[in-house]
Amino acid sequence: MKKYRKINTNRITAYIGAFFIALITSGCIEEFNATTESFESILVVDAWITDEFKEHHIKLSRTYRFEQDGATPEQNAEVSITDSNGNIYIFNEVSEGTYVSSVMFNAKPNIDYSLTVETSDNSIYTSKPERLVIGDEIVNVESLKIENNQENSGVEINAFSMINSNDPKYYVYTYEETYKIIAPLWSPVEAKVVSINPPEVELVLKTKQDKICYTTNVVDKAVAGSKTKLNGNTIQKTLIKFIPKYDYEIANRYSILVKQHSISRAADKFYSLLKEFSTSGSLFSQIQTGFIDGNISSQNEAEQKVIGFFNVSSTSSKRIFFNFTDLYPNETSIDLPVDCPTITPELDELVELLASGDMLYYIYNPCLLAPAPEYCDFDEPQGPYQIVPKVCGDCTESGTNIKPEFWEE
Amino acid sequence: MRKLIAITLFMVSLNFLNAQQNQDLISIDFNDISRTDAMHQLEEKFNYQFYFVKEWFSQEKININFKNVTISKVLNQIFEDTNFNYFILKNKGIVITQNRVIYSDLPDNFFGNKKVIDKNNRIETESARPVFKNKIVSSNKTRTETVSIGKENPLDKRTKYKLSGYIRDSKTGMPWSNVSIVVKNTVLGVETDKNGYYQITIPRGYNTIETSSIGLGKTQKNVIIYNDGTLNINLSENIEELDEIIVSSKQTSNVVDSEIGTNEVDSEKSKNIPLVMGERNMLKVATALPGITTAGEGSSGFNVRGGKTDQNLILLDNAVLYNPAHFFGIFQALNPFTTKNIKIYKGSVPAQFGGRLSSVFDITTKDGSLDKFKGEASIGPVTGNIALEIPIIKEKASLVLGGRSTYSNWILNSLDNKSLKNSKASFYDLIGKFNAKIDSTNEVRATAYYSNDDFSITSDSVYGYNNLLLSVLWNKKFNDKNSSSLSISKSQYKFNINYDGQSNDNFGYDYGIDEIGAKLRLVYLHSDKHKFNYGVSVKKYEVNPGKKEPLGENSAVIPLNLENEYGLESAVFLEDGYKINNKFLINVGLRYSMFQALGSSLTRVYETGQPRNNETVSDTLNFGKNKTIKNYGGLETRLSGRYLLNKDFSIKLGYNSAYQYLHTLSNNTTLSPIDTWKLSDYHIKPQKSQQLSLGLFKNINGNDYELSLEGYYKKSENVPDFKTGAQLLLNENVETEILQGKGKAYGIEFLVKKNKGKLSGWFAYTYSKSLIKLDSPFKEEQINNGNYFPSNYDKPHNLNIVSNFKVTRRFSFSANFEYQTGRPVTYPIGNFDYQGDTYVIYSERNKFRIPDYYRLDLSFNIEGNHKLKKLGHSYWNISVYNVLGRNNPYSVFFVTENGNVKAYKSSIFSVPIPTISYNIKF
Repeated sequence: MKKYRKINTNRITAYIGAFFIALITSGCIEEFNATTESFESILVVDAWITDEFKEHHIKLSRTYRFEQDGATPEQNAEVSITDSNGNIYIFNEVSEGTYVSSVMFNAKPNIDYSLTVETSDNSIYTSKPERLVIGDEIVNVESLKIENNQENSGVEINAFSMINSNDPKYYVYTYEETYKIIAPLWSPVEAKVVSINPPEVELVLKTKQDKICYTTNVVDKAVAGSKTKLNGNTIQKTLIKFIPKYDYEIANRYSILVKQHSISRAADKFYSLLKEFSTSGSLFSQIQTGFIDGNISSQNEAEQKVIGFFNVSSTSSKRIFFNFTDLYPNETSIDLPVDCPTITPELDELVELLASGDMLYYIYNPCLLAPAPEYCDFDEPQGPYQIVPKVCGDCTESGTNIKPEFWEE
Repeated sequence: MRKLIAITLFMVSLNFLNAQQNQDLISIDFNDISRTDAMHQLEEKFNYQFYFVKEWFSQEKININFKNVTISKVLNQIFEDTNFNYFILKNKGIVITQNRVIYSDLPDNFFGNKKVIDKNNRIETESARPVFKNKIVSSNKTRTETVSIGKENPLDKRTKYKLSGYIRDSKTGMPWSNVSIVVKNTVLGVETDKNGYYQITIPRGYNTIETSSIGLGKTQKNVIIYNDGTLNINLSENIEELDEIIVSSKQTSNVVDSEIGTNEVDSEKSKNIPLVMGERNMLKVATALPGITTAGEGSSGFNVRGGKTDQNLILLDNAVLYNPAHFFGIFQALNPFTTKNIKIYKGSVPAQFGGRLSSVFDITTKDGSLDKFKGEASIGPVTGNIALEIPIIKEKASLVLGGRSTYSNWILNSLDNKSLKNSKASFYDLIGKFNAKIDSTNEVRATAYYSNDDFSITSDSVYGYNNLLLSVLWNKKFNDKNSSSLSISKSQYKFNINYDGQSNDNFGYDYGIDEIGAKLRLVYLHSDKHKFNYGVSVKKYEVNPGKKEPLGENSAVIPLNLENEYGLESAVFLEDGYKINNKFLINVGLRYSMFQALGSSLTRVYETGQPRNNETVSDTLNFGKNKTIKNYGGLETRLSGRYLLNKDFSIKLGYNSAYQYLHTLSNNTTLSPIDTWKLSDYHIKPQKSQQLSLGLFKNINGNDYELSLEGYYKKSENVPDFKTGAQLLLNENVETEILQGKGKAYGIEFLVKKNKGKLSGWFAYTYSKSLIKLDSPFKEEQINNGNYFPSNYDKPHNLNIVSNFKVTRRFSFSANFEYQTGRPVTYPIGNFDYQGDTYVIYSERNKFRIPDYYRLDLSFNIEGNHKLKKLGHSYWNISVYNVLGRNNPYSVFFVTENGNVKAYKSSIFSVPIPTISYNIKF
């Protein structure tokens, strides 16, 4: 009804029209302060092991009230995974609510794995025995240039997976992206402070490689990109990530490793319901909500709820590389990840700034050369050197100078 | 008839010759010919001209020979033992009249009364004074049937005559005992004996006879008596017509008829109930009755006795109306001017109806007037409506036409506001009904109906739906005991969504269901004790479950067309209304219904002993066109009985079982226009229910007050419900989302009605529960751990008060109040973090309830004056809907926006809505 009140006109037709519209539009939908009707503190289990040989992580937390800011971690629980060969993998709490396996291991085919969690209040929760879900190899990962208006242009990273409709497969994706950083205002030499008082600096050759570095982002949260079925429903295209054209990530060379995790149909249902229930909302397309059962249940009493799905998934991954110029051959990319102002302080101030480690030597002050360039402003201090913020001249500030093993030029 | 009277009266005023002056002698033989043929022969041979009404004469044959007799003698003999009189005019014209004598002179005491007492035979007499019918007719505004009794004999000086006859039920032919027959405004009165026979002495001339009894209500007949005579009264009481709401004349039937749990809503009288947006809404009235609830404002479905919204068979002149609502139920899709009444069966359903579990809403359209052009029109704030009754062939055939429409689109377009300008909301419905009496034994009725809705809720999508109905009914009477009615009907319901948004996923979506059926019903009035009613029906369904197509060139939507579903539903039924004795009446009905799901179809088969999902598919079966996919069927029992504890108090018991072969698929808790209907198929079993009901019915002070208390217990099986988060629209394997469970509903319904007096109305209270259980050996096919839980329409307390107060004849004031428990809802009970995102956790299904619903409406009716000569009869209606401004939530839902959970509630009317409408009847 809000809408109808807003319209302030004396015309009777307007009144009627507004009245009618108030009926039909979402004007009658208003936000209200929901207080948690009947709060139950329920254990939330985020447990996912894979066929990768590594230390596996399990997170435990509790549901919380709407009024509360975040989840409370579930501490001091005893967490273990038992397999049908009799192996027990113990998980130890390394930080609040996060439990890490004491050994490295990987899930193997045709073995049942079950999870047991015993909370500090002596409630025991177990999962149904789960087997490694084996999927097909990831078909491909492709980058796709999207030309739209200024804001929406960029690169889509898509994963292609086999989902044979007769033997359906369900996947979720995570990824690791790595991109090359080239320090934009880099100098092979650095200025070392010999003495602060009297101020004295000395130029020396750099000993570490800090011009080219690599940054890696690990996204281990399942991506929520849109899915499209192709090729008579045998292949599914999933949008992994969209990178805007002038994002520094793709300014030089970019690489992404897309991990395709095969999950069971039940797990897929669980994840898709989680997502749907948090986005539903039209008057017509209300989804029948309800408690979402996973594969974990309480051993003490059947009615006691627990949220979560214990996944044992196989992983197939594929890495791609591309340069900015591969996609945009005649264009230049953004060259500065951050703002890189240059200054030319007087010697005493220069020494202090260099000593603080925030600034780096770049070049001799060009305004002290004759003839001085026109842009020089002699009202400003004109010290001997031009210096830049460290991040602009030393790439190790934003990445590592060790070239990753997988890296290909 | 009237014309004839006018002619006769005109002739009375003429000065014509005395009959005795006509002295031609006649010789003629009438051998086995009818009286009309005899008159024709007299016309041919002797140049007489007879004036008579052909329909008066039966085909009864006469055998009389005449030799040289006067015309009077011939006529006396021909019309001996009949009610006919004659009058011979000067020029060989002969006027035949029924009952009356045409007088050539005014009687002596025409202008004054002289009483003559004939002491000898102690019969009070008066000078024979002609009875002038026109006086009676003009003073008779109530349209009570007028009958003439006896043959008028000018020599008869008695002032009182004996009237005798039988009172029987017009359908069953059974005699009604203890019916009181009273001469209005006198103290004269008798009762019928056990054979339904009565005898009463009543004054000569015009009398109003009133019969009244339990079960028959009151009927009136104007009787003009000229001599001793018989009057058999067949009370046109329909045994199924229980409990007519508002109309007081048939109220007693609620005590007497055998059916339990039935109601009727009458169109004309429902105008006294407060209106929404200036429109009479009979379906809204229905929901004010016990046992019937809606999901709330703005939802078009009904829940009858704890049943789902798809379990109601809504028939408009025998054709199924899939969506009886415009605009989410704010308006009914029935034209209030052309609708005669709605009969609602929620307890015992007659065996002739089937296919839905919970109720039958049998809606009848008015028959057009056979003699006069009539019309009705109304103008409200949102809609306009007009209905016309057009006689086509006088006294034989007539047409009713009705049309309603909104002018909201026109209003919306004329607005300056841009967002409103692009909105769309319109609907209309059209109805035409033809009725014709072919002859005295054949009757034909045909109805065509179309309704259409278009609206946009968001700027990028347009929804539309329409109903199309066609039906033809042919009633034939074979003889007094046997009659038949054959109906053929077609119904269609379609909806479509056009989504035209910003991105490249624009689409058009279409759904349609089409059914064509025929039903033959025969009635056999075997005896006073038995009345049989039997027949067959067959129906063919075609469902187009959905077609999705890209809209526009840039759309990336992949076209999807689900295969059509076909089905054949047929039934045979037999019912006997058996009157064991005057106190005990039972109705025994049996119905065998069958359903065949037909191909062509590609049907998946799932591993036995496994949940149905994509992983457990074991085979795919290919059924060819019209090949049977699966057969279903079963016997349905319809039993009801009444026992009269005394003449205005009865107890009734009913047992009803039924099958239902088509179901709606809906994620919504309410009936929405985009709910799709699905036929039973290889996987989806028919729904089945059994209901036991018991009721006590009591009338006080005639039928001034009516009380009833009914209880029911209902069990159902295979009630479709859905998995949490089910995807129903355009799902090729929708059986993987459907769960079929057990339902359990029980309740008690209390109703008090006051039918007469300045204040009338009713108070209804229902306590009921409706539970459902979705259990399975598999966790993924369980809801709430397989325990019984409240259904979406479980509303334990429901209270309705409907009242009308007549201030004067022209002003009336009405109010209604409704209260119901808020419906169950699945409520978010907290947040949780999972894999880096925040989600909402929901309670078990239907664990909580939205706030209670209540609403008060007021309305004021101002009738135009009641002058007879006025061209039209008009009235104004001023009403305020939701006077208390209660913000009744329609639904609540939760959305995660940027990691925050936001709660929203939607309501339809949160402020009082005043409306004014003008109605005219001509």
